[in-house]
Amino acid sequence: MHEFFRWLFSPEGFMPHGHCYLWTPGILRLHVLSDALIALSYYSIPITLAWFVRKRRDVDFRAIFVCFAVFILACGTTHLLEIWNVWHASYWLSGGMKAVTAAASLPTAYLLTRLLPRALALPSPSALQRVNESLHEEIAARRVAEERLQEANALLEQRVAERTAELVRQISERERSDLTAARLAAIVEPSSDSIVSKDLHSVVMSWNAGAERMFGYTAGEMVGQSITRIIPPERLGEEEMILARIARGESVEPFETQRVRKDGTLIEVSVTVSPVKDAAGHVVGASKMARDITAQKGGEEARRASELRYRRLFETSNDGILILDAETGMVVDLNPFLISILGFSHEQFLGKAIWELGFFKDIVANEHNFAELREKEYLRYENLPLETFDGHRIEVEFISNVYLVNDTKVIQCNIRDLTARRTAEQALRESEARMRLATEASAVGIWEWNVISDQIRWDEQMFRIHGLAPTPDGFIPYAVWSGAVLPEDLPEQERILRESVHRLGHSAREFRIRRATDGECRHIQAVETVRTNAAGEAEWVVGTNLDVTDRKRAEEALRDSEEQFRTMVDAISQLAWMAHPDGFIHWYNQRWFDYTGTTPEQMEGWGWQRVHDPEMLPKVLEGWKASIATGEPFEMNFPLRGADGTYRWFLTRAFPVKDAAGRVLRWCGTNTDISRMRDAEEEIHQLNAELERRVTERTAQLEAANKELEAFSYSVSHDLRAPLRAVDGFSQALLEDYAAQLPEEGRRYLGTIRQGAQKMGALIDDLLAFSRLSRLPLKKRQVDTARLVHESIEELAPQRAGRQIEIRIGDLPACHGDPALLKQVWINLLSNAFKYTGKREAAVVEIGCIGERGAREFFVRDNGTGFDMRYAGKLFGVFQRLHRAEDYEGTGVGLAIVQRVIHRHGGAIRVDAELDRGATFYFTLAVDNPV
Amino acid sequence: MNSPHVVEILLVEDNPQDLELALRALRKANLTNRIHTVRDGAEALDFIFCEGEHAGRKIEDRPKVILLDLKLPKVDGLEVLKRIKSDPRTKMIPVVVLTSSKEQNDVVESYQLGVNSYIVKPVNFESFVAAVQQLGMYWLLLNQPPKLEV
Repeated sequence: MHEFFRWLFSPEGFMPHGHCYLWTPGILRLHVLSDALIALSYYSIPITLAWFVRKRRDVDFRAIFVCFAVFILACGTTHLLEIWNVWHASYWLSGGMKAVTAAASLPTAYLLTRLLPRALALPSPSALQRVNESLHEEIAARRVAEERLQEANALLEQRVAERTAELVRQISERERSDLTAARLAAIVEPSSDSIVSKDLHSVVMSWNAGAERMFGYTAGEMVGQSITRIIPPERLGEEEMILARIARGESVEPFETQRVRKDGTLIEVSVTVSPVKDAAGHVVGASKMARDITAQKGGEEARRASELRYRRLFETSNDGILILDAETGMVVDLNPFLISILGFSHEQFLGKAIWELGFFKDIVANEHNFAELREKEYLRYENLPLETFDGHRIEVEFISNVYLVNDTKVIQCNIRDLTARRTAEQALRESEARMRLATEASAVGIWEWNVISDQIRWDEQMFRIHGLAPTPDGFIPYAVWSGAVLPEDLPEQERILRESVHRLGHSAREFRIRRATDGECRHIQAVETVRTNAAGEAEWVVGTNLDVTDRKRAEEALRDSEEQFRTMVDAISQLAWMAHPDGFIHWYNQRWFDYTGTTPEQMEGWGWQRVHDPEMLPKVLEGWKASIATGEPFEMNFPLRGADGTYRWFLTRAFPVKDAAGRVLRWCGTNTDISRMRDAEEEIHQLNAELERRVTERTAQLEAANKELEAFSYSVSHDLRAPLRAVDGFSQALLEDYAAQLPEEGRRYLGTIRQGAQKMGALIDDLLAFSRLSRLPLKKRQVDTARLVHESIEELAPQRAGRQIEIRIGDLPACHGDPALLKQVWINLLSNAFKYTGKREAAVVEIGCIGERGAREFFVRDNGTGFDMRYAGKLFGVFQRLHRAEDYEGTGVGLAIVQRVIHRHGGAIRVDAELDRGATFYFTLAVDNPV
Repeated sequence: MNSPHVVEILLVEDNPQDLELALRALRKANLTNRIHTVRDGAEALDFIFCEGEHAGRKIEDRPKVILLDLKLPKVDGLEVLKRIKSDPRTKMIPVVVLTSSKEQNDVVESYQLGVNSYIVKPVNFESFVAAVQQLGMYWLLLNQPPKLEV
């Protein structure tokens, strides 16, 4: 095969056809393109033919089409091979292909020739068109004729049917009316039911025997009369309404009502109403059938009531109830409580089998279990957990029974929500516990007394009240109780108890017992009530006892306290009162009434205004009202009129008594008689004023005196010294200018004159200094004592000139004072020390400070001439001297100045001396001084 | 020194004895050449400010020093001091208060008014002479006053 194709395509030495065209591009292109187009066209033709033949199965000459298609296909292929041969010399192949084409062309030509006569016989399309049109016309004509025929037939049949129907009706109506009348009579007349007819105006048209029996009226009595005779007046509206509905053509359901018999008795009837129509079908009246159901009514009502009761029980039961069909397991009914327990709606239950209800999955979740339930007929689960619609788990008790209703087996499931019961039980337990607690806490003892057996039973509290050990069963003989009651109280108690037993009533009493433990007398409050037995006789007296001793004591204490308070407020010298928070005074002490001479009635509330000074009253009211408004204490002085008509002044104070929340509970007020105090105050005031005036006067005098003294000092300073200067100066001049002319004695006198003048000058200077001390103000500050002492010693250097004095300086603390004045003190003391040691070979002056802080003394000690301590008193006086001027010069002012300065500083000075053994001056400064 | 008639010391003193003693002291110290004496405050002012009796004097001829008593008739010493020290023409003249008063008030006030020295006259004449001589020597010979053109 392979070889064959190789051979077929091999050139076998031939030249490709292109050589014949000399490979001229133009000719090559022409041939190749033309052959290609022809091949394409040839190939498309058989495809078209094949499609045509497939679609038109009815077309004859299928063979010729097939042959023609093969032939054309082969032609196309030869042209393709022509193109191939231009480059490949497969001339065997192309020749073969031509042979195939020829083979196909022969049968095609043959068949075509054979078919030609038949093809010529085929009608042309236009001829066919014409034939068709004529055929259509014929069909339409036939159809019209057929319709007419049908119409005629229908008319005929209709007429036949109408006629037939008429005939049938005529026959049946006749038959029927005959039959009906007979039949009706047979039914209506003997019927025990009342059958009556009436027109639309309620006029009776027929009245059967049953009606006669039922209502007691004969037909003769009723026909032509209004039927309303047998209708109770209150039901006339019902009759009207029914007739109106009948007239409108509406149907009326049977109903039950009441009717009145001729004898006036009411009967219960069941009524069926139907319209009466005339031949034309118009409603002309109504027929009414009534049945006496009075007897039946009773039974039915009982049944209905029973039904209703059970229904209500079902509806209101506090158990969930589920009714199932025992055969199918379908939920038939359920009560609202079950819905409320589980939270699923009615629709979620109904029409479902119990095992379809998810929340029962634990019990009857499948048919197998259900079958078991049906088998056992009884099922009970305690503490069954169920899940509610909203996902809570509740505990239920589940009981189901199977029983027959008529002939149907039903299963009733009772589902009890234990959650509520649990809660209730818990609440009950708690309530009991609380009750017990309350009883114990309130100390109330409970007792029961059996009147018949005379036995008393106590609870534990009763034993506690009596201070007795409890008996095991709580029973005690009557004598135990009666023995405990104080003998003087017992008869009355027994009388009350007897009376209560007699009355079968309640009583309350109070008595005293002697407590067994300590013999203490206790007050008991008792309440009891009598219980009867089945025979209505008093059997038990049940009661409580409460020990009220403490309360009684508290009350007594309160009474005592109150009494003491009253006694006290009446005893005090003040007037006193109490007011409500709004200022209404509701109580005064006796003293108020005694002083004012008023009565409680006059004074109550705001009545106090009548004892006030009318001029002061507005201010008093203003102040008092302001205090009431703010709750601030009230204090004021004002006069009150006494019983004798004179006014005395009172200091009035009112304090609010407040509760924990700060609200004023009441006001407590007092009025204190301050008339004498006011008088005394007035006197003091006047005395003070007088004193003040005197002080002012005296001060002015002192100031004037001081001024005079100053002027005097100034004059002394200037004027007294000028003449001395003249005395001294001119004495000197005389000595200088005329010494030669004066005898020795004269010169000595002049010397004495000068000494006198100079001495007087010194006296004046010292005196002025001393007087200045009193006038100048102190300028105190911190003073360095040691430095002050050193400066003073330095200043006194001229005095020490030419002398050997040993100066010992001790520890000298700082002090507080006027430095200039203190320096004067040191200078004077040191100057004295130097002066009075003048005759000592070995003079020693010691300076120091002794004593503790707060009691320190500075001192200046010398080993000089000293003095007799008998004259120490004179030492500090002005111009006082203990030595002769010839021995020790001086003015006698120095120590006076020292003392004055020390005194002005608030200190003290003292001296310790011995004749010829020296002297020691000690001084302190003020207490406030750090020294 | 500038001219022979110019006063070198103006002595204001009402007390004749004090005046005499003062002049005696100055004289002993050879300081008497150019002393002018006035007996009360009013006259002192006339002299200093060239008024009244002394209108012919030239204010530029300032004394080298004024010795001033405080207790003076008519116008007292402090008032005179105040006038001298509050006038620009005269405030440069050295003023020495020479008084019997040891009163602190007087001392303080004098210094507040601008006094150049405050001397208390001692009763003792030797002391007095010494004081006057010393101050005369100081103010006239040692002190160099500023040369002011008024």
